[in-house]
Amino acid sequence: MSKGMDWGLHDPLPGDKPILWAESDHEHDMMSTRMLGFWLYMLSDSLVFAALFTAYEVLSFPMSFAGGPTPRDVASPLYGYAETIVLFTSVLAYGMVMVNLKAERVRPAMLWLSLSLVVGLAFIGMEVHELQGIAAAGGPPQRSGFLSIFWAVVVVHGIHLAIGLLWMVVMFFQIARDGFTLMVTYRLANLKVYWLYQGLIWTFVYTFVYLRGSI
Amino acid sequence: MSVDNTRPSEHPEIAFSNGRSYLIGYVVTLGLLGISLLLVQGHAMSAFNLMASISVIAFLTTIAKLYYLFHLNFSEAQRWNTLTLMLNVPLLILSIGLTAWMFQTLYDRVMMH
Repeated sequence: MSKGMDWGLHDPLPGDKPILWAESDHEHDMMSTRMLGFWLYMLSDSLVFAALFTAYEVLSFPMSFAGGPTPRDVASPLYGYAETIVLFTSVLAYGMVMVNLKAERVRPAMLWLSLSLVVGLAFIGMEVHELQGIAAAGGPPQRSGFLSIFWAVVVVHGIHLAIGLLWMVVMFFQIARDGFTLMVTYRLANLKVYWLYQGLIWTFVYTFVYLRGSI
Repeated sequence: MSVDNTRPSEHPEIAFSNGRSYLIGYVVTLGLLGISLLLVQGHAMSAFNLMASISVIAFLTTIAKLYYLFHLNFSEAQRWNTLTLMLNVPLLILSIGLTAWMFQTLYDRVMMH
């Protein structure tokens, strides 16, 4: 191809020259990036719970009771509903932490965070009380396949909550020490996702373990 | 995507926090599960219909939570969270549903009733 020969293949486009790349560096959206990563963790965690619910489904046939307690004996819908109210109240209190974070009110945010923590602790206390009662009434996890998976579902959810409560304690001190810095803000936002998500999982624990057990 | 990292409280992930919406979510989700409780305690219908009803109510509760508490939608800030959740749902349904179906038929065929 001879140089200088114009084949008409490189006509400039009409209008402004298109911008194909940024000429300078810019700040990245750290918070969104990390929150999406945390959200993907939450979705993988939902697969863990899916596996547990699947096992619960399989181990709910009468053969798996091994002559021991049945779902009707271990899960009281009324007590479960009281637990539901307590947990959702803790979730609501954490929502108010976010409202005060948005308005940059440090002290009210710490107050709501403490409330969310105390109510969350109350929920765990209720669960411990309930499980102690079940164990005392002849339903420890080793009694039957059904009881093993019942304990597994409730305890794994409870461990998630305990970790969330520990996270709240840490955030309480970080807010007190640093205020609402970028790091503290995104951690509080991720904790919100985590805490709300535990409430969402409880919806299924309550419906398919507690309510279904008494049908 | 460029952003001003010096004003974290104005970030879109924080901006949608809204007390009224959290309160509505609280009342609606507790109300829905309360209906489930009343249906089950009152033995309002056959076992199969009860099971179907509380499943539908659990689904509605989930939708209410995702809408009022997680604020999931297709806005710029939430688009990928919503999409990844939607892609995750079939995995949950398949893993739980197929296993349940498989064991139900196994049980019917090989166990003495």
